[in-house]
Amino acid sequence: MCSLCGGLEQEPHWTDRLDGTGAEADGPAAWRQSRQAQVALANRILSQHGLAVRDWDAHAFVLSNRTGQSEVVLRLAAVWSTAERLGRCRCDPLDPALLARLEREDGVDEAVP
Amino acid sequence: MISVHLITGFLGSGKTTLLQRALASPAFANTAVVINEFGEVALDHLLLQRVDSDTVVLSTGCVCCTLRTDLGAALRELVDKRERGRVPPFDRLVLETTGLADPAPILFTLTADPVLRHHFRLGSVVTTIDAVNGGQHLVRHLESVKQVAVADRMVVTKTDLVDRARVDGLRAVVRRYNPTAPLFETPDASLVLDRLFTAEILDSPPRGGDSPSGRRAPLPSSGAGDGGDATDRHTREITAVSLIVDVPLDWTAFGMWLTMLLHAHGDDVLRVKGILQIRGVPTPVVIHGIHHLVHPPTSLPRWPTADHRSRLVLIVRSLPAPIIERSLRAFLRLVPPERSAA
Repeated sequence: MCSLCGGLEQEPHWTDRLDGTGAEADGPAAWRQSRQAQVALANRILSQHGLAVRDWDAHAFVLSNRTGQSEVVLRLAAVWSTAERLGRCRCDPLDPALLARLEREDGVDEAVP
Repeated sequence: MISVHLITGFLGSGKTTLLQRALASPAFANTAVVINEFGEVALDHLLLQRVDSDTVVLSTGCVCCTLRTDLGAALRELVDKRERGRVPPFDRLVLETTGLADPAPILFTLTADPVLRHHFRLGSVVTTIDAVNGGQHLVRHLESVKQVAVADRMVVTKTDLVDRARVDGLRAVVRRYNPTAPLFETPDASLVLDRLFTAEILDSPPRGGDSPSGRRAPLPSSGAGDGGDATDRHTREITAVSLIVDVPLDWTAFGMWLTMLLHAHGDDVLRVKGILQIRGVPTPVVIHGIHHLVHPPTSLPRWPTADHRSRLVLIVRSLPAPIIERSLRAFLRLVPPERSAA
C-alpha cells in the first residue's frame, strides 16, 4: 500500500499493458483514456447483471449493485468473482441469454457507465 | 529473460532420452536443467552428469501440486548461483516434469513469483508421445491428452519399434487434439533441437479457415489403443477451436472477453494460443495461456506471413466452438470501430 495516498499496489496483469509493443509509451493521458474506455466497456457487460463499475482515483475500481452495495476491485480483469457475489449471478461469456442481450445492443459511440 | 522449457509426456515416453540428446549438443552448452525426483528420476539424475552442477533435484512428490514452492525455491537458487558466478551464466533452462505433471502450476510459479518473473519466462512446452503405447495412453488417461493439448512442440518417440501405419495413425490422433504444434519424430527430432526448445512458441501461425471451426478428436479404437470400458469419457470432449478475426482487435474488449471466459471455464480451457492484430499496435501480439493462467503477451518484430488477421486457437473440453466464436464477436462488437483512431 502506498503510504502517501493509501492506494493499493498490485502486481501487473497480462491485460494491463502490451510490453514491448510501444503501446505503453503513449503517456499518462493515453493511459487515462484507455482506463476510461475499459470502465465504459466493462459497464456494457456488467450492466447486463445489474452492476456498475467506476474508476477510483486511477488506483482501483468500485463495483456496485442496484442496492448500493459496493466492493473495491484492483483490476477489471479480476472483477468477475466480485460481480458474481454482488450481482448474485453467473458471469459466463458463453451464456446464450447474455449473448442475446449483447447482440441486441447497437454498437455505440460512447458507452454509458 | 531466461526461457524455461518444459519436457512433459507420459511415464516412459522418452523425456529423459530426448533431454540427453539435447544436452549432448554444443548448442545446449548454456542450458541448466531442473528435474524432479519421482520414481526412476534418481537414475535420470545420474545420467545427466554433464549438467550436474546446474541441476537442482527437487526432493518430494510431483511438480504439479506439492512441489510448486520447491520449484520456485529451486529456480531462485539457480538465479542466485548464476549471479554469484557459482554456475555458468546459462541462458536457457529445461525442466523435466514427472509423467503426470500438469504444466499449468509451473506457468503459475513463473508468473506469480515476484523474483522469478523478472528472470524467467515460459519457453516451449515439449510433449513426448510414445509410438508404442501413446495411443493407449491417449485413450485411457486424460492426463496424457492434456499433455498433448498444451504442447507447443510434440515429439513421437520410439517410432523404430512399430510400423509406419501405426505411427501415422497416432500422428492423426495427436493432430486432432493439437492441430497447431509442430510434430516431430525421433530420431529426427535430434536434428531440430533448436526448434524444440525455442522461446518462440509460434513459429507458424495457427491454421484455420475463414470461419471459426471446432475439431472434435475421435478416440483411437484399434489394436493396443482400444481402451474399452476403461476409456475416459472426458477425452471424447477435447476440441481444438480455431478463430480468425479479420479486423484489428480492441485489446480491452479482448481482455475482458478472455478473462471472463477463463473465469467461467478456465478448467475446461486447456490451452489458449494466438497471434493477434491489435488496434494501435503495429506489430503482432502473441498470447498464450494454460487454464486460468495467461502469460504476459509479447510482440513479434514482424508478421510471419502475409496474412495479418488475428488467429486464436483454444483447446477446450466440452465447450461448443460456435458459441465461443459468437461470444468473442459479441464482445468485440461492443467497441465502435471508430475508437481505433483514438
